[in-house]
Amino acid sequence: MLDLMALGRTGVLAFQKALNVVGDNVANADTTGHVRRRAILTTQPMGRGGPLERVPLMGAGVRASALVRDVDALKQNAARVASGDQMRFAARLEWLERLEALATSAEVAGRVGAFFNAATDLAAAPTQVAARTLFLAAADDAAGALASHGTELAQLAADIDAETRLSTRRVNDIAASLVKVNEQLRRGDAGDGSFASVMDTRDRLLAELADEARISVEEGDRGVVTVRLGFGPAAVTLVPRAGNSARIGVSPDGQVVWLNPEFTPEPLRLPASGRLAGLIEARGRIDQARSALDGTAAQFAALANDWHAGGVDANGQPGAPLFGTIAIATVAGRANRSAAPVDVTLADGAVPDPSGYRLIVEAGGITFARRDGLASVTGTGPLLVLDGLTVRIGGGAAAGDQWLMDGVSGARGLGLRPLVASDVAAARPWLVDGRPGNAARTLPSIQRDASALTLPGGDITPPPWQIRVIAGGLAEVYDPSGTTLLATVPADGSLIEGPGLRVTVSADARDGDVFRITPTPAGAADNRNALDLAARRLLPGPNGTVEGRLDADLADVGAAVADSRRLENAAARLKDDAARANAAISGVDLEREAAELTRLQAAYRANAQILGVARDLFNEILGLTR
Amino acid sequence: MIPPLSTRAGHDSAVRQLNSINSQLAGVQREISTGRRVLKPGDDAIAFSRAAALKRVDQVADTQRRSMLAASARLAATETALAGIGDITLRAKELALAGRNETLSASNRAILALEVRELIVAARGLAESRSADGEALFAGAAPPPSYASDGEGLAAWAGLGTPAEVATTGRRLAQGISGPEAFGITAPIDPLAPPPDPDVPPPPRQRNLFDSLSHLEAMLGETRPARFAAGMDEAIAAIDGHVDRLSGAQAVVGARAARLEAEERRLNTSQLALKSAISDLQDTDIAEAAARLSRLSVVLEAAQASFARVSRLSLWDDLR
Repeated sequence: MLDLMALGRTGVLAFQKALNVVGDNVANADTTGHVRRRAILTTQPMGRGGPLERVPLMGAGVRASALVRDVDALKQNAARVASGDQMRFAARLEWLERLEALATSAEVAGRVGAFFNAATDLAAAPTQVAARTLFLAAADDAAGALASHGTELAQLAADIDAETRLSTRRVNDIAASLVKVNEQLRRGDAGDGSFASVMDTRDRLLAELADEARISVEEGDRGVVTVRLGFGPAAVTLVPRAGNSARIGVSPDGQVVWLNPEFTPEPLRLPASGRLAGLIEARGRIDQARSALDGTAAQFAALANDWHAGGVDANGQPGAPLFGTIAIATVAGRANRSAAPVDVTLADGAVPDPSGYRLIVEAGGITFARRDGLASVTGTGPLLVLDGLTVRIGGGAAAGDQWLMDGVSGARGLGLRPLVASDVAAARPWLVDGRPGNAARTLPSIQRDASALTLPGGDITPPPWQIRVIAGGLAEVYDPSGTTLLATVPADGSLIEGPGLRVTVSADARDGDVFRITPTPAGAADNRNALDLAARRLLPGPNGTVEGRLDADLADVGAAVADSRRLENAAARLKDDAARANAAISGVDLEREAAELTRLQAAYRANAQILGVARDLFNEILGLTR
Repeated sequence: MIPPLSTRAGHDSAVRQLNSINSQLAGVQREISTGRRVLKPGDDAIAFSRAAALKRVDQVADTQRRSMLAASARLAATETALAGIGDITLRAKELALAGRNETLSASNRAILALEVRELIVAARGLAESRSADGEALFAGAAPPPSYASDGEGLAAWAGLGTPAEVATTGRRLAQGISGPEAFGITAPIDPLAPPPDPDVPPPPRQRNLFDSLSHLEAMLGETRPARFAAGMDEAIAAIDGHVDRLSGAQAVVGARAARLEAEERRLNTSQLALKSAISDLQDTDIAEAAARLSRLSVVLEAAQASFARVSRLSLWDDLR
């Protein structure tokens, strides 16, 4: 009887433990990374029978010998890799979408186009102050569009750098945690419940790590893992079986992952998987967009300044450059205690030193110095001037605060110079007219050319000139009164050199034709320079017209976004499939647990009944003695 | 194998699919409410960049239309001034023919000369006409005035260059006509010629309109009969020439104005085609979007209903 009771007792205890495992599974049905547990019930080991028995006729019952995690390592690995791939595309898509949103809302191409259109409006009313002012406003808007978009992209690059650093820090932190987990696993007991939860923790950390970068995992005895970054023979050990984990970092330009960044940085070539890879790809794309924008801004500034210099303004002076190409960017020191505002302006035409500048607030005063140490200015007042930079510091600056200033060129450096309405060069430098009875259908053309020095014959008198065509395909150049002959030039459409200019007299001019060339006076109503800008707009540079380049860059970004979106969708489906395959083995299915519960419940009841029967029988025996 | 809804993975997967249908619905709704199918380059890179290029051409056309409008106004002002001066010239011719009559007395001719003087003042005034922006119409590209009196008291053209131009497709049109083209030029006196013989009428001299009228006024006051006859004939012939030249100038200005009008009509047509092309590229087809919306709504409703139904079924309800 005692044996029967003992047997029933083992059954009850074993099935109780099994029910606990089912309960544990159900309680953790929603926990991330929880792998379904199963209690293994094995027969109790039989001892030998007593001295009175030769052959034992029964067993020793059952015990819950081990707790097993239902896991398939291959499916788990596949799920990790698929998740890493999806994270790569998702990270890339997120940042590319931000780039696309910035580029679309900046509307750079539209605002640059408005500048060119404003020149056409200027040509319709070249003497009107309002038209000139509107033209300058459009120029300011175009330069502002390029500069602010450049600043936005710079900020985006800084943001993605911060995210990349976060990602590498996550990798380092997870690697360090895995080292601790390895230690725990080495000390633990394989069939233990707490061992199972440490394994769950280990798997969860590996999944998080795979989300950041591609890893390959080698499992040793007792579940201790060696983790390598990448796969194949070139993989680098991140988490060894015993010992400290390696660390990774990222280079300042955000494009290269380094092993051991604090001591001996070693560049790593990682497979394209994981959030880190996606961030690096996105950063590369953003850098590409930035350099394209800088190139376009440089082309635009050169085109506009060159065009403006070819005309004369309302005072008859040659057009000054429209756009300045250098600006100042200020960065506050990260250890600054105060948030005092610092305003830096660059004087028109001043060029900042390439080494940059530093502004430091000390106890004795404020020092504004060049970073190469060759010049500095110290004062206590809110205003300091050096090299054409004027620094104004607001109140509340604490001692020890510093700011760094650097010159920026490219898109961020573009800005309209301080011009007024009368500075706009809408007219051409010379006015040409001819007598009404002239046989020539076209007037002489004249343009500036710095390489031309004198008229044929050596005279250097500049226009105003009177040109009289004579027989023999020649023309005589006189002073305006028509008395002093300056030169005799060919009148056949060829380029004639003059002082700083070149002239052409058309070939259909006949003997007796008279032309005048006069420098444009102040207040003239000529608009030919303004009309020229419309032609320059369509001049292609090495990569196309300014607006064409902007359009192409935007379309490029759009195509990259559409591409990434498609890839991310496909990767998400693959991740889904792999996760489901893994969950089919390791996930908690509530229905299956319910079915298990009923089975174990029935077994438990049966064993409890055995106990009851054994007790009744025992009572019978005891009852005999009363 | 599709995992059952009772597992977390299966549940998440089913919810994800519902969400995906939901976000597709939201996308269609956004398309319908904004009326635009392509909002960002990522939606359709090719359509977006094509539409951007077409919009740019459209804006250039708008700007061109504005400048052509300004040019038309200037040409109209020029034509009005020329018409006024033409009327003055015809009146001067009447006076010249009346004055040619040798039977008129000196005082009668003096009255005619007075009227010619007034005509000259009026003509000079019209020659100084300005456009709406204050630019002199007949001074070419120079600032006003168009005509100044030189040392001899004659009207010399004070302008420079040719009038400002307006750009139309492939060509630039002058927005007006310069003084010499409309009114002729006065030939300078040859400084090397011998001094004139007071008894012989001077040879004919090419004069601009205002100088011809001054010459007419002077001849009306001429007492010597030989000079009078020769001078009046010369003046009448010159005024005839000016009338022809003015008609020619008006024709040129009219032709330019007509050219601008034709250009504007062409712009209208091409802008219409542009706007239609832009709309094709980037606007939503409402009918197609509405059909898509209703199909997706049906699918979503069915998916939600079946999901709710299946999740209700559970063994746990039957455990005792």
